[in-house]
Amino acid sequence: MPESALLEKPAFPVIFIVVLSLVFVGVLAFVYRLNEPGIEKQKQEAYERTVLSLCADSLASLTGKTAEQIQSGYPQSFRDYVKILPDGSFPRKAFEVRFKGRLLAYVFDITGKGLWGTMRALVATDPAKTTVLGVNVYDQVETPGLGARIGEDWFTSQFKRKAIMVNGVPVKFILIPEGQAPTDPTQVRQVTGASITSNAVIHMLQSELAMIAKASGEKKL
Amino acid sequence: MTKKDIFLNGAFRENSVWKQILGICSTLAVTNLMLNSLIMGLGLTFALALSSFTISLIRNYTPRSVRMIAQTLIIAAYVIIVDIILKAKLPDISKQLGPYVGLIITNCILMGRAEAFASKYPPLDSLIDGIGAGAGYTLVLLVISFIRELFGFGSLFGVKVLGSWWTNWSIMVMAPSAFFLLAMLIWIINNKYYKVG
Repeated sequence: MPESALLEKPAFPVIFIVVLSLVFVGVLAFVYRLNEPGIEKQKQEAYERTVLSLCADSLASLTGKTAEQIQSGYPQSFRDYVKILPDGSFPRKAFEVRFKGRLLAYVFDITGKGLWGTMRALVATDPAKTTVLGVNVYDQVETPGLGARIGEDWFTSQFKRKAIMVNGVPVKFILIPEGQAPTDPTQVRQVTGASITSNAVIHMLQSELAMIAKASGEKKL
Repeated sequence: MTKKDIFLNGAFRENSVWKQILGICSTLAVTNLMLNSLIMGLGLTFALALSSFTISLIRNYTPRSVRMIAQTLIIAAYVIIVDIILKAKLPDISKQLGPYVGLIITNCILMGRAEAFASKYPPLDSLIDGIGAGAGYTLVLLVISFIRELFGFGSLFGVKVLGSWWTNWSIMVMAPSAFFLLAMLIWIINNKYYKVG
């Protein structure tokens, strides 16, 4: 069949697009596979840096270094102080932070329901798992500009040194407007226009930490 | 038209931003730091040049009825390649540019050049046209980000150039400054070089 006759066929546009799609999907798959190890490595690195940043303050008070020095010392400082706990130690993926054998903090990879979907966060707690040392919501699909602001520093830093469980009972937190200064440690400044998401973060922290505490309590018995 | 003419036309005489007012969205969005602008410009130039080349290569076989779908597909593929490479090699910049890399797909400059040039001219000319238009776009981005970063942060490419006496103009970091800087740039250039009559 001469070339022009093929081009005239009514089905030609369909065939053309199908072939073109296949070619480019192939090219993309190839490029992605080629770069996949690099992307995974970057993700892993960002994740480990987050773990380190959450316990940097606690480490700084003991090691004599500043929190910035500990963070910029990655990856060596991560290897020195942080140990990934084997699966099954806790119901969630967990890290142990030690300095000279002394347990300083745990970091848990927790998950909860946001307004639109699952959110994942790293939370550092004291060894008793009752006080939060730091939170970082690293994966979420909340409304951009509203709920997504739970990732901002001013929001997550509110939980620093907050007791989240007292005598095994979760502390009841009260949301206050974003611009207001808290007068009580149980008050949490919420993200304006996103009270569901703000509550979801608190709920995630409480339920996940309670679950982890319960599981580790049962293990001891 | 010589190859040099094609390049100069794309980059200056028929500049996509100041002459054709295309690609404004990203021009406004990513120009608060020079480094981001440069990477964005390079990413767009890469995607534009290669997609123009490919579109031109298959132009005689592309059925008219599906040509725009085909163009979008080709453009999208190259943009995703840029996105993947940025994610693997420059994760910080990839994070800062956020959705704007993916949005190169909808950047009017790419469809504009595909329709106006690549679908009519041979591959090599289209490649040069793509590089030219990309260079013109990058130039505009760099000019705007130069002013915004200098006044907004007192730095250029992240290097502090203004001393501690300098008070940062926070308006320069925010979106409105991009609007009036771009408007002033277009106004000055059009008045100086494209005077009618």
